[in-house]
Amino acid sequence: MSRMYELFQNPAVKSFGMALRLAVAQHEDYASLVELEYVENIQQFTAAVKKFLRRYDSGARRYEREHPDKSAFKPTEDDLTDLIKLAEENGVDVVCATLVAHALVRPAKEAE
Amino acid sequence: MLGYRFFVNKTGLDLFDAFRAYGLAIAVKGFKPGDIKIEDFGSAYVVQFEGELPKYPDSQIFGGDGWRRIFRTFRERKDAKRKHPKDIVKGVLVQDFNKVLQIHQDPDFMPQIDDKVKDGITLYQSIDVSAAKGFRETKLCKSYHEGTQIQVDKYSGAIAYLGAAHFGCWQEGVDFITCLLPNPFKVLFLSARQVQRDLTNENLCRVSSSVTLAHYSVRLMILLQKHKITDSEVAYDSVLFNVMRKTGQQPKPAGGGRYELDFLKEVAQERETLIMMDKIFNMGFVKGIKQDMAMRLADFVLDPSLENFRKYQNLHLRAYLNKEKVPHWNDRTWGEVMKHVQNV
Repeated sequence: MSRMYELFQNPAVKSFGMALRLAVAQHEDYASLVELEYVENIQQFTAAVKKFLRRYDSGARRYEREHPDKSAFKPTEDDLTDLIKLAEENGVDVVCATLVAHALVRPAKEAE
Repeated sequence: MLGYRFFVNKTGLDLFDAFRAYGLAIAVKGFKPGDIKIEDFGSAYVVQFEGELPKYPDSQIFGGDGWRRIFRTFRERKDAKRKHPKDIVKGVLVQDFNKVLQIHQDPDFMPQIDDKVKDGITLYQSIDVSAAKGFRETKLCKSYHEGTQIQVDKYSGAIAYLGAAHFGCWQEGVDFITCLLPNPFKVLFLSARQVQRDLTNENLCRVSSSVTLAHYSVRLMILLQKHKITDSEVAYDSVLFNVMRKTGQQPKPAGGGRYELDFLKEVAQERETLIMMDKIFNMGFVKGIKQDMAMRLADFVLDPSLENFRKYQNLHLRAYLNKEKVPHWNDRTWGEVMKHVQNV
């Protein structure tokens, strides 16, 4: 089995992947998607994730303002630490591919 | 009951060798009931038959549309001194039928392939692109020489053409012609023939030769699953292909080889994954991003590398963001694909 699938199942990747899916689908954050596609090293990856989080945070706040009774999903600090660690260990291209994969797929029930 | 074993030693021309194995099986059995087994032993195919050997070939084996496609580069002329190759093949199989069967019972028999073979017949590029003229001779300076045709002994040639006529799956695109054939790793003749017949009638995406090959392979795996055909009945390990490029005149050689089915066998564990791939290939007829998706998916299926995975994934996401009507991967099906991305 490829290492990629293990990464796909990792909680930190899942958490950021879900955030990316929401950012793309609800807040139309295509910029983060493009930046993640083109990162080549860990510095660029960290910068892209930071920018993504800033954009995502503003989108999440807007969502909470518009829906006062609901709270937006947010990745935790531990998720961020784990994600950067995974990128250092496995390479940024693989981690980016798995993040984008989460943005692409629908959960099995939703897709049906 | 009597049992016979026929040996088809491999020459290195993959498609030619596989056609010989299928051709020998159909020569022995024709369209009569009963079964015959073809098995790949690495250096040779072995065809096993139980029953009485026929004295003459079944006359029905000379029918069908496949013959025309094999000999499409043959130019019929009114003043032609040579017979049509199909008539030559028919003559060999009718007159020397016992000889054909006899020589293939000898485990040491190797086909003769050369520029000139006594009583040989021309090996057409349509059944193996390696036989195309330009591939074998160097061009010196400004001189142009087309090269001489490859010839093969008439017995081996005849059964190869017979196999090609009945088992080759010919697909034609705007600028290419391709012939596809699953390699008989271990097959029962009747089941294999049914699979091949079903696949020939399928409407494959023919945007490019690589898309056709990938779509054919996916459909092959779906068909095997659909009919619950077990490995003891039909086991294929690869798909052999031969591609010719259409030109204003005769088709020219474009490539050929063997596509291993390992990746598709792995992803076939989740049947929906294959169905999803099939849906995307079916969209390939529509120009634009859908066609691009089919082409990128074909690249990924043929070479499941991380680079091709990312290219396809990004394109699919673009289609989704552009609100195109495209099928959605779910985490189960796409996860199954991710399990088998290579070099990660």
